[in-house]
Amino acid sequence: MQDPDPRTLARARDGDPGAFEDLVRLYQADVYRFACYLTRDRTLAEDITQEAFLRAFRFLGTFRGESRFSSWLLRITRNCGMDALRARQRGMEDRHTVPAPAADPTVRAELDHALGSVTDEHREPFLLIEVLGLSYQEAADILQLKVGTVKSRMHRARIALSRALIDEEETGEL
Amino acid sequence: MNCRRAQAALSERMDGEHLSSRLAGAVDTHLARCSRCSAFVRDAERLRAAVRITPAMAVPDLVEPIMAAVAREAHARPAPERPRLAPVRTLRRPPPLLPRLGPAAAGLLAGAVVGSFLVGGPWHRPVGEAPIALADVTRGVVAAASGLDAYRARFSVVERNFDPRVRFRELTLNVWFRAPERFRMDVSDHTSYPSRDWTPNDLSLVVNRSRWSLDGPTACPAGIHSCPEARTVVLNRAPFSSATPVQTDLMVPFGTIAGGQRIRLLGQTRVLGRPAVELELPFQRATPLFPFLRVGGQWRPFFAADRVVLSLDAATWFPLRFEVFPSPSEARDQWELRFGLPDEASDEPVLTVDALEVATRVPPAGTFAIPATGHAQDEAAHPVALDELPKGFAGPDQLDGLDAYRAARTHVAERAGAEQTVVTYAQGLTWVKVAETHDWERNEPYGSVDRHAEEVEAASPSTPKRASCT
Repeated sequence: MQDPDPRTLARARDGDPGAFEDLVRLYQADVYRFACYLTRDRTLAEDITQEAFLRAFRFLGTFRGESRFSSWLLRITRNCGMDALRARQRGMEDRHTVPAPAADPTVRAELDHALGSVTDEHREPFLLIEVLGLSYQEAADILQLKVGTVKSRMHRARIALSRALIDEEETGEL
Repeated sequence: MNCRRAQAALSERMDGEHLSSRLAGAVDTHLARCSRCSAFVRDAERLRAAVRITPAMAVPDLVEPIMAAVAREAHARPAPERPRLAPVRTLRRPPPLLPRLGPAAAGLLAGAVVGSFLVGGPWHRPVGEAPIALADVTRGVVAAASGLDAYRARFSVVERNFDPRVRFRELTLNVWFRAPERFRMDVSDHTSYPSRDWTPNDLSLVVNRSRWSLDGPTACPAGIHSCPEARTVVLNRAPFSSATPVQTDLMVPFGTIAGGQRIRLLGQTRVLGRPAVELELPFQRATPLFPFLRVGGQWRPFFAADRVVLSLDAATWFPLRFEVFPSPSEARDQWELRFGLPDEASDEPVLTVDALEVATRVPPAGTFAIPATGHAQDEAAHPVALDELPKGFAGPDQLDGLDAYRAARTHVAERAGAEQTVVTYAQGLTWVKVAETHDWERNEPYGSVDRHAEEVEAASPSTPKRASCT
């Protein structure tokens, strides 16, 4: 993921709406994709994307450049995603119904199921590193983990997801 | 070295982490004799292919609602230290580049329509059980000839028998495209050469509308491995110049497949975890798939009759894998001797290209930048503003759904001193050239006509026009 032009970032921090809009245009696809893979729900991912940018606008003044801007933004996205999933969980408990998430139709069904079958601990580093192409350091910044922990989780994620993908294909349930 | 340690290191290496040479050596030694770790690598690569070689996820444009929410938030703030936000902008399609012109004058369409795969179009083939015929493949690829606006892909390239001391070379090929006429192809060489004197085969070709550049080692005489690096920058490139074409067959193999001659359908298979269609054709018919062999640098030789096996994604027509196998013939044996090659078995590929990642994402800003240089060559296609076309030149502002794109005045290669004005139309990968000259009397198109040319209806009955596909 690319870094924003520092001048654009500085102007956005000063409250220039045009500059903030440039940031939205630059990162909306990555934010949406991350939200989509996290929740496996396109509608929820749209809400999370909007909320993440709104929070980013709100807290842009606190961004000190200690990590890359994209990492900071995806960390916010992850927090919004967690909040949204918790809210959905609460809603489901209240209603005692389980609505099926709308899976992304462009993702292979087997892969989608495999991603759904592993824990967040495995899914998150895998999404950030393998799907979004981030480095270990960026994934560590987003997940607020040590780089070594990200490396070992990524390794275990590969084993778990490979196994899940093979199971999906072999059982032919889909 | 135990399996757990080896797999952890292999996982890191897959993610681009550098392993110390000692660790890398120990891991490779372990990997060579451990079936469990080999299976780990195979599964992890399959997983990577499953994740990355998928159609790009459709992303909704959320700029308007986000900026509207931001504007509400800004207005609601008690402290007015930030300036007020401007109203939300509405995206508009830019106006056509060329004002509407009158009926077409005499001219020649000498353009090209090139394949595209935009997922979801009429060419998108649902993968089912029905057997596929060669005609389906040709039709699918040809029908895909519109609408590809952006593309990024990464391929791994393995080349055998480059040199007696270098049996295998491993390279990565990165490709970026943004319509119209912006293309970049980078070759990165990861081979371990016998000494530092050997020049790695790192190449970069960038085509950016009227400019192009090529960086890489110059071609050296056989046996010389230290070749000076060179940089070529060319200005005033003709629109859709056939001298520096955008290498679209890496995206959709239209030029390779068009016509269908000497292509054999081998069947349906799975490649990199995806349903695929396998085709076979001779190397000389498949050269558009291998543009990196032609642009520069050092490569092994290839025999014209060698067998190319091309695997296309059965849904999107992306090339997923293409391999060159030696043809079993006496003529090739003699050719091997002439080039100092070892005896090459017909079932072992001498070149393998595998897609690692394919997406229809827009390349990042700056991808197609060509830095200014003091020694640029000039191809002498002088730009003409679309609203300043010569009096009498006529063309519509749209042609068969393509927008007028760029015009230039160029020399006619076939006739010394003759000039022509060229207007081009483009949409995605599809493009058409309309050229006009003032001293052509014969009732046929002047200039060269591409081998895939097809007749099109002229806007005026007296106008000889021709379109071509490549």
